[in-house]
Amino acid sequence: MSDLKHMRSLPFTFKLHDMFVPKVRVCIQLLMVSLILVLTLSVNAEETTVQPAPAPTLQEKQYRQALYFYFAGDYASALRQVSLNRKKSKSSSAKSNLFEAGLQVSVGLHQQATETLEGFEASLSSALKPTKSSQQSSNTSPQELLLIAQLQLAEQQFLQGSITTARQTLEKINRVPETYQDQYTVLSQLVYWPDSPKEKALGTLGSSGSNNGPTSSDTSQTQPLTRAYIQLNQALLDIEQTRYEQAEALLTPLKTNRWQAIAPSFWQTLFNPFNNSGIELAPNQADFDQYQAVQDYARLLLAQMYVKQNDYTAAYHELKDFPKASPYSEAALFLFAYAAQKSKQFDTSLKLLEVVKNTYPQSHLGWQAALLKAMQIEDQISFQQAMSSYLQAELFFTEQEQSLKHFHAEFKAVSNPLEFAPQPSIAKPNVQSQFAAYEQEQTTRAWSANNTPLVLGEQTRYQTQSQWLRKALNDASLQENYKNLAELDALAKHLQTLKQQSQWLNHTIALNQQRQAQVLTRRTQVDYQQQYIRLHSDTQELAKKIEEAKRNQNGQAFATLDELRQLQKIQINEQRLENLKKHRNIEEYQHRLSRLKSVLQWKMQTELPQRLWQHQKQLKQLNAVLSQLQAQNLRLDDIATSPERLTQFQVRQQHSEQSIDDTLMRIAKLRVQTAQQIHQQVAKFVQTEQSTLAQLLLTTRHKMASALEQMSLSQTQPVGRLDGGTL
Amino acid sequence: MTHTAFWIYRHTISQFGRLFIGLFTLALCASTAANELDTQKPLATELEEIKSQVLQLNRDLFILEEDLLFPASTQIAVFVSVDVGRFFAIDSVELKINNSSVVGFLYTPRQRQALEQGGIQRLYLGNLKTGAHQLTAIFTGKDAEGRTIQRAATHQFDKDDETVMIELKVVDSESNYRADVQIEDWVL
Repeated sequence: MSDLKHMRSLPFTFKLHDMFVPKVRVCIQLLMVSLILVLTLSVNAEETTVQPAPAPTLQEKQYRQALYFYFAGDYASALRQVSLNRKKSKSSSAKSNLFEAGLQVSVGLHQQATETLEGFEASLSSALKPTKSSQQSSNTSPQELLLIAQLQLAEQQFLQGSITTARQTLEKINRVPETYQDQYTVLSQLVYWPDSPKEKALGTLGSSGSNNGPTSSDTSQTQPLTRAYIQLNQALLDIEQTRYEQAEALLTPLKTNRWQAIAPSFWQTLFNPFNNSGIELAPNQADFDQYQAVQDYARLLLAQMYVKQNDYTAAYHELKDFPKASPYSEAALFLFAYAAQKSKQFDTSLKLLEVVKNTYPQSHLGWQAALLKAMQIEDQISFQQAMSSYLQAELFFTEQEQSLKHFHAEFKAVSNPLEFAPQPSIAKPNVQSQFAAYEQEQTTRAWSANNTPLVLGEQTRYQTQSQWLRKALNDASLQENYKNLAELDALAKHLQTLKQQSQWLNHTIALNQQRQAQVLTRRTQVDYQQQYIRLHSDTQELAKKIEEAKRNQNGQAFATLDELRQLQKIQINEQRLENLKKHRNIEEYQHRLSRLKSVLQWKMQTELPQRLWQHQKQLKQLNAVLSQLQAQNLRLDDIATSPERLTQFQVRQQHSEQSIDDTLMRIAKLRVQTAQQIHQQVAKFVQTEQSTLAQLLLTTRHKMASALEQMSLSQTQPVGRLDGGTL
Repeated sequence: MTHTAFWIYRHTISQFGRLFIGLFTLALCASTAANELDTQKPLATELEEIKSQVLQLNRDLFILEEDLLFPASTQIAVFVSVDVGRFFAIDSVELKINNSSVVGFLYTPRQRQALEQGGIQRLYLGNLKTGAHQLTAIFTGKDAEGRTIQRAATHQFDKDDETVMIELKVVDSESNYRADVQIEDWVL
């Protein structure tokens, strides 16, 4: 389009050839002014002092463009940039391959990431064989990149359920530097569970042995929080295998340890979509929550282990001051109540069970609490009170059944699961959200006005106001389907934007075609080439005249208009004097005229070098401008002879639009399938919950019958009920 | 670490399932989740394919737009990078070509961080006629003491039939403890 815009203003329409005058100076000036006006070229460009960069860095620079998008939080644009770089430069570096795999993980393309990593690992392994000492110029050695790729590949395989393949990938790793030891250990624990993870020899890799990315400096600090996870996993394993002493030894320090802040490396951050790489306005709070969660979980595990060993008093003391706001508070509260009951702290136990029931009315633990409470009353207080408690439990379960039934009916009536009791988005006028909005706006504005950033792979949980749906969403599969549904909507929305963009491009192509046709029509009406030839020959003529004046040292050739007028006047006067010669004595006049002419010629001869230089320079500039004209003319020729360029654009646009329509149809189809699956999952959840409630109701009624029986017996043989009983 | 946390979560559920009376279905929930995930696979794969296709479409349209609106014969691209950024925290940049302002950009903290971490931002993409041109960049930011300062650079360049790519580099100078703007022409 811009080409055409420029070409429309080609300077072929001026009529300088009609104005040509034999005086060199005037002619050159006129030509120059016209050309300069038309082309608006600045001819007095200064010499640049900037040195061009060496060619090999271009690839690195393209990679860094993708990094900018990544660090700015726009993963889809980063992935697009990597793909563009590959398409433009026809090659990609090891780091950009690994980076691409990381980005694919970040946007949720796990299968593609696995394929990229497999290809990358294979190519890097073969590339490393002949030159084991080879290193890249960067701070991350090829060996280290290979290790990162293998670890990430194993992780991806594990997440996709290919445990055996993940084990095989891990087995390929021979040496693990200390920096990656924790990551390797955690992965091994998960992959080899319930067996013990295989240990690898510590070693260094390549030049740096660092796990930092291309822009970070090397660090060798440990990652204490990762160690905490390793110890928690190990303790779990020990509890499973009844090695309680070892588990206790691991868990006890975890309860009280203060963990250091972790600075994740570039590659760790890249491959972890849950890691917020953005600016953290309150980093300490997030760290604190992490440490607290580790400590709480360690305490919960310890308490659980004590319960397994029937040491209820120890479990009770362990959970006595468990934090209320912990993510594990529900389980801890129930376990605490259970431990209190077992350690014969009946009043506390009753109160705690009541709290569990009231706080978590939809939870299985809340339901169990209701039943346990009634059973405890039956055992410890009286059958009458137990009957009342059982009745309350029965009512509670019936209410839950009704509520569940109501929920299911309402859910079935909604075709779009995302519209069922969604959590209203609360406008938070905090600094962070303002920053996020501003960043989004800036990112959009930065590279294209017609493009909206594609947000993929967001790991936020679907939030709902419905208590039952919230409980159902504890199922990872259902949560995943909700996430998929939201993502499909985002994709469809983005595709609509792309479609608008595509239509706008189509409109632009059509406009360009019109303009191109107009330019070509005008071209047929005016013979630009002929005009150029004429201008060129005029310039050549001028060059000859300048050369001749130089050769003859003829200052008169560069005379100014005033000088020309004076010379002309002298010539007229000479003619007049010649006519008067017969009648009068004109010797003195002739002498004066000759002196005047000599002075004028002397002046022109004196200024000859300076004027010659000026004219030569102007001629040079004129030639340069003519060359540009010729180049533009040739470009116009190209367009005239190959009008299919815009047609190719049109074909590409139409292909894209067709793909957009096809993808939108696929999305619509997949959306229906996902929504159906969600409905099925919710129906299954409801069925399971109903079954559980039915069982609880049955158990409660059995207990009531039993209590009634005991009551009738006790009327004849009263027995004290404070012996604790069994649960 | 997320998979660890997920594993821990699942394990906790199964532990409680075994501990308490056994008539409840906590453990069942955990085990059925895995089965359901297996049946999900085709949908998940299809979603991945769609995502990939959308990304590809995004890229194709981006290239088409660039080819159509900014052909190499007239294209000029200006990039910004920051080396370290210790003596100059970039706030904004204004770019002028032939004394006409073509783009201005205000940086958020995150975008500034992205530059300081080694990213290169494409600030401007436009069209220019063949010939000599002048580019002026004015950076505004804060120095190490938090004072607002400005740095500017001017660059003369010639546009020919090839794409012109110019990088504006804000570079810390250890010798005088200040940042300077350097200009680099990329060679294709």
